[in-house]
Amino acid sequence: MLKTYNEALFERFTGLNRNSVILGAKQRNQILSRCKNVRSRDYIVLFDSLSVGAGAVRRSFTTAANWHFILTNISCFWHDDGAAIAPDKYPIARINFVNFAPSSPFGTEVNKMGKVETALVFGREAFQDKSGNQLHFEEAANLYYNLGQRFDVLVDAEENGQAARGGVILQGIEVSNEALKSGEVF
Amino acid sequence: MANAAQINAELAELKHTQAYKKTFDFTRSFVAKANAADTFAVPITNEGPFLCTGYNIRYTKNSTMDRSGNVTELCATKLKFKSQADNSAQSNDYIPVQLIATPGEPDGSRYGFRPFLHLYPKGDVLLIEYDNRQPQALVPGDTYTMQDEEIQICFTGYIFPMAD
Repeated sequence: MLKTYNEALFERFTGLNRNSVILGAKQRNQILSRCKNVRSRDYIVLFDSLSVGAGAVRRSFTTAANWHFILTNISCFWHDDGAAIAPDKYPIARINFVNFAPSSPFGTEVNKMGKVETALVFGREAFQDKSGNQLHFEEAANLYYNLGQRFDVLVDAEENGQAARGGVILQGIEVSNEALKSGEVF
Repeated sequence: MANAAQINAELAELKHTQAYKKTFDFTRSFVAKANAADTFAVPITNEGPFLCTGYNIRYTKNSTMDRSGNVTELCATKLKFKSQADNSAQSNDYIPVQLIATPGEPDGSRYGFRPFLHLYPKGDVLLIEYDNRQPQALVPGDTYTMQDEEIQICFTGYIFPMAD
């Protein structure tokens, strides 16, 4: 089974794939000592409606003390209120990291606006129920952005984009200072 | 001083008896009451720390939304999970169950897995918060009829009986 970055990071940071066994009583608390410094985390940003120039939402997040957030997946979802105009190009919602400029996943030039191109993707789907209402969903996976302890997220509409009530889920892992200092970071 | 053969024998025994590590499914079904928000606590296990690697969540869609005569079945429940021991929530806010759930209905075939890592110390308690209150109307005239929803969660991972 192919591993996502999320799963690979679990094993890398926890060291659980090394099959080492600790027998001594003194070292029992070391069995999971590295697991205590890694955990998954979701950050969700909701919006009521998005259109070009309106409805943008900005949220600031601060992690728990001494924890750093590494972003691995972005999921964007929104409802169809019947009046939404399906855009010709994707994505509808832009996710901008203020004061943070990651390079593109494909190694191209640094994006000064810090925008994550969810269109370079990884999946876009729409779920339709019996009445024809749709819940739209798109996702960018296998990312690796160390956003640190404080980060700002701005969600606004892409050109020609319009969306009704939805949100963005930033999924990743949080790593403690101790884990980062141990040097087990890639 | 133990020789290599004795050490290997002990290691093999630990692995075969699962005294060191064993898989564990932590399951729970609960009802998210209509038009209510609540929190309840569920003890996990005293056998050892539980390292959750992901979960499978299923739900019912008993509630409905009526828009101009078109009725849609939906589940408007939002969830939040928290470890009592480290006072750490898995998300900053409630998340709609549709976005973190896996396919299927309660008591049906289990399918799918959302990777999610969290270490629950030995004897920890999982705090489950739900919000099944009526959403605001997206389009004027939308009418919601809220019902109780059954939510089934299965947190899967490993227990380490020898760990502290």
